[in-house]
Amino acid sequence: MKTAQIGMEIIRLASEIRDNATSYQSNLFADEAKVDFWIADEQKVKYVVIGNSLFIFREDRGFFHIYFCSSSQDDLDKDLADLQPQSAAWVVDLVGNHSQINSLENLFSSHNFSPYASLKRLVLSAPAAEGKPDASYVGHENVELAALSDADQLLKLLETSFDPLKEQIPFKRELVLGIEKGSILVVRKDQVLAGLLYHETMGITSILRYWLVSEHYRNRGIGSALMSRYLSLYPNVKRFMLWVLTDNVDAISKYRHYGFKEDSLVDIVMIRGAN
Amino acid sequence: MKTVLGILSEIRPEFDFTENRDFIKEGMLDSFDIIALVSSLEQEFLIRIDGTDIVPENFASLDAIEKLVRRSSKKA
Repeated sequence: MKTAQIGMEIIRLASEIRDNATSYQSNLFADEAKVDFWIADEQKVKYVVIGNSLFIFREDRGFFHIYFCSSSQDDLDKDLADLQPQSAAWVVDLVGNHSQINSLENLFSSHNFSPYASLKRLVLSAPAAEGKPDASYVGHENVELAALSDADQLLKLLETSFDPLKEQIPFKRELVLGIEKGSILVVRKDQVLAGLLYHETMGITSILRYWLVSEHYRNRGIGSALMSRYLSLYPNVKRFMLWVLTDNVDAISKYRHYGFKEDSLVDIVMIRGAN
Repeated sequence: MKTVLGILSEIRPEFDFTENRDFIKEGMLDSFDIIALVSSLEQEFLIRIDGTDIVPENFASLDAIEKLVRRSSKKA
């Protein structure tokens, strides 16, 4: 197992596997810049080539995200069996249409991975976005941009509210970049952060990453104030997207209220415990 | 036979890919879309796109994608 120094190492190996593949299989959607970011973010990235498969391990909070690039599903099955067990749990995200990932889910199950969670992607597209409810709403809550001094509190709020195995919580460096870009909206109450909305907006597309109201401050309109402000911030955006846990019916119901609809992508999260 | 524009419109029908925009910087194509696009282009045009060619700049415009298809056709 090698530790990656630059993203190019990983991308070059993945390209070689793809170029010689009969039926390329991968769950690595990150590009070189993203892998570079992981490395710079001190998320240890290791990799190993076994047979016709590349396996990449990204260290998170006490476990590893595992990514694979393989020349075929048969090769992945064979090479996965030869992967040496680790001292920490492995988490694999299988992303695609149900029909595409069903066989991969069975394959990983046969290698002692268990289903842990599933997420689905919701999309709000123009012209629906133009007619979204409450788009012009200006709530009584004071929604403002997060400040750099909020970073620690934001991180704590995310880490205590979400499961890192399911929801890929950012590290502090990524949060600081988000604050600097103006991508994090907050509502303060009693001098503490009562709610946040963290998005990544690129041109005419925006990804809603986290929308959260601290438990103590729920049912006071803070969540709707954050969402309404967010949806009205970027009139040029034609596509809003987010991932939500399929069993989080409350959140799904709220997103539907704002006009979000399911598209065909799902993310099946599977876990293999530490040996 | 479908055109590159037709394939793009199937993948992301909400966007007008004839507009002079950078598909990547504008977020019109994300990493999931690019994987789907590569697969569709390979099937439709019976080509093989090299792994080293799957970089954002080759998917940033209609012109760039069409050039990629022509370049890849020669390798098939």
